[in-house]
Amino acid sequence: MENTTLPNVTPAKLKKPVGPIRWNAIIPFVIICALFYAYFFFFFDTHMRKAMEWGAYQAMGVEVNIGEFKSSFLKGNVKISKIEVTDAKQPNFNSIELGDVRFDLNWDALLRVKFVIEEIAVEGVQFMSTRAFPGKVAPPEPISNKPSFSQQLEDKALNKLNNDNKSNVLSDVSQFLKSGNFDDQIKNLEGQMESKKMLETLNTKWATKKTDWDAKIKALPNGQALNALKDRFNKIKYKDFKTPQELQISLSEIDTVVKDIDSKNKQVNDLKSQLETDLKGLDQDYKNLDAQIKKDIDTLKSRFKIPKIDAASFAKSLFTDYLRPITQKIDRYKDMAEKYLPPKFARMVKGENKPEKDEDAIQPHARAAGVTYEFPIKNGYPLFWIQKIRISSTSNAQADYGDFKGLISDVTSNQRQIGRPTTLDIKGDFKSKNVTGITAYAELNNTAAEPLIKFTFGVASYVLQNLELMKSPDGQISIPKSNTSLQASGEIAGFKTYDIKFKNQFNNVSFNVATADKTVNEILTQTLSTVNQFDLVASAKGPLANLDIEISSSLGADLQRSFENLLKGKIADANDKLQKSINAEIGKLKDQLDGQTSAIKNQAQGEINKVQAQLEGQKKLAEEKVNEAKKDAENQAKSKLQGEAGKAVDDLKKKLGF
Amino acid sequence: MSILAKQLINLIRLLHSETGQNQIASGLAFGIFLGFAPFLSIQTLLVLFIVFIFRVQLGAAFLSAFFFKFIAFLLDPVADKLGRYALESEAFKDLWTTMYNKPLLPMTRFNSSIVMGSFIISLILCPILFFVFRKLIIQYRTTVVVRIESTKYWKAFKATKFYDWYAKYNDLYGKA
Repeated sequence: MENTTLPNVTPAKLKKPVGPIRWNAIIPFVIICALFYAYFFFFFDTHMRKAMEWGAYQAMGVEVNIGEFKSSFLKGNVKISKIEVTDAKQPNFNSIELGDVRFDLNWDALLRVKFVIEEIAVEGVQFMSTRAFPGKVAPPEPISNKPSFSQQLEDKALNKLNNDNKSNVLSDVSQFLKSGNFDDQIKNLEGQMESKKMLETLNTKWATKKTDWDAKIKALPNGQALNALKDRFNKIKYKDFKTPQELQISLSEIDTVVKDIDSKNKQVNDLKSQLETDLKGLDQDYKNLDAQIKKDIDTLKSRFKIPKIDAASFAKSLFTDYLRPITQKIDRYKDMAEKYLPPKFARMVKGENKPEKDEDAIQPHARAAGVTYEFPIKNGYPLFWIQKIRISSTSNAQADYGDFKGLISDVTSNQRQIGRPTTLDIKGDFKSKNVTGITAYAELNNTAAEPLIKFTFGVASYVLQNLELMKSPDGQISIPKSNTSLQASGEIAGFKTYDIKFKNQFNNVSFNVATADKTVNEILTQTLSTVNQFDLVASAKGPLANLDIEISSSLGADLQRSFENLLKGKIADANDKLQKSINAEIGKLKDQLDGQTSAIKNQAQGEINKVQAQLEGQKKLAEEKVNEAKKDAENQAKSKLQGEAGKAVDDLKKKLGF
Repeated sequence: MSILAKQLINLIRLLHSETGQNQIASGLAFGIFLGFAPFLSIQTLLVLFIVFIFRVQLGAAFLSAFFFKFIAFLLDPVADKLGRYALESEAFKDLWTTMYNKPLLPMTRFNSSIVMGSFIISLILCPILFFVFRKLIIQYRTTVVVRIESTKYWKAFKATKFYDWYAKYNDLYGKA
């Protein structure tokens, strides 16, 4: 046997066979999943609540508090309790408080990355509830020099002049009754009238134009030039042509003269179109002048406090302050709409009209365009859809929630897909506040090409206290208490065209009147003591940038009747005096302008027409001569041909022996 | 990033080891799905999940995805035509409509001609590429690696301190 010594070799480390699953990756994956679960279980609700509070503050500019946010990812439900929205004007109160908001998310839709809620229940709605602590209100935006949208609306409704001169009917009447004499002021009209300055400018402009036109008319072809053309025509031979060459020479001579006529005609036509342009400019200048004169008259009437005794002026003057808080809200809602509405609607609010892609369309592949196919949707959902929001609130001994019920249905990102408009329907009362018969209905219909919003809002009865209709150094009119009803309705087409109506009915009214002027006081007391009820009707119609606002009231008509008899004659007299003074001030300048412009109109127009007629006559003559020459040549050729044919026939007869 | 670097080192190491050709080949083959599909889509997430859970070489998968992303750009016209053909086919119309109305599936963006075409290409090429890559790896190991290891440069490199360090590192952390 052979002894062999094996080398001292350590056995090779055997590699543990590994399976197809990467277990060392699954464990971290499970840990990450567990961390996610822990986050959603312990922290998500708090973070969500804080994010919502922060977002709402940024959007609304007032502190919004949420008592509790509770969500279950697996069940897909959310419960939000005690949502308090601070009132911007009274931070110790909430403008609205919602007790509970609950909803379930549809899992089937969630798996399609769509958010569908079958029903949201909103309970315990309170208005102006007391807060535990004053809410934070965002500092106001820096004051812009540009007038706000509501200010522009008010100016338009009131007529800018009245607003600038801070006039109101009551003080105007008082002042007018006191003096009624503005002769001294009328004497110093010079420098106060923009129309006078305008007339001076126009006179200078049209005097220069007149000089220009005089020169242009002189440059027109005169009688001598026209006679020369006539002579040239007379010298041209137009009959008894012996050879075709003679005819050709005459025709080319006529052609040369016609070309001269045409060039002169072109010159005259150019002048004529220049004149037409100038005359159009003149018409526009006259229109501008008339508008300026009217504006000047209105300004002076307003400055001299000549009151307008008509129902509309009374109504506007009495109710502008009352309506101001409502119109001011438009600014805020317009800004919010521009900021938060989907871009295509926000553009409509701004007045832009760019076509927008359908928001639900699948975006094309980023790498290359390709084609994205759409297959029929059988059970698809829009991107966002709240099918119903049920609002209910009942008062109890602990809290005055008000009693009302309402339903908001089909809040969605794509109404066309579900084929239904978004509607809101709420009815209720706040009995403890004496507010009864609240109804609100709204419909946003975006199923057609242009979105259409319709709404009605009404309050059957509420008590209005301390309504100040007018307050000025000359006196005041106020209503201590009245039973009021309100009805508003409107239609907004394409976020562009608005038609809004507003009606307030004031019942069981008694007025407090106190004015400095005794006569005015007597008339007001006498008139208003017979008024037990009156209405206020306001309307806004047209595009947002140019809303046509009307305010009327039966109270205005009552006041008109009362003051009319007293002031009618005096006002007519004052208006007449003012008109005469204005005419005297600008009449001379206007006559001067009329003289200059009529000279241009008549002289230039007459001269151009005359020359044009003469040139046309010459051209006609040329045409006649050309025709005559052609006819003559034709006749000659014909008779020559006949003579030659006759001779040939005679020769033939002779040859044949006839 | 360090995971990716580690995976790439592993890829080189595996290429030079005796085992793991299936891991590398499957990683390279799965890369075609990652490269051809849109970056944010359900199918990308699904492939990533498979690649992570199963022992597929990640470095190979990402390297291959990077490479196939460029190929995908060049093949877009072909993918578009193929996708249109599939999506317009009457035979599959009901299938597409059903898929379009199912949860999650529309998130694959299968209704885009390019996505559909790219998916079909990757589905056809994936198994073929697996076997092709597997064969290439084996060939690489039997010819190229053996030839390199027999050169004097490699022997000189193997004698260096750096190689000793690498070998030590490989012993300690070199598990795939």
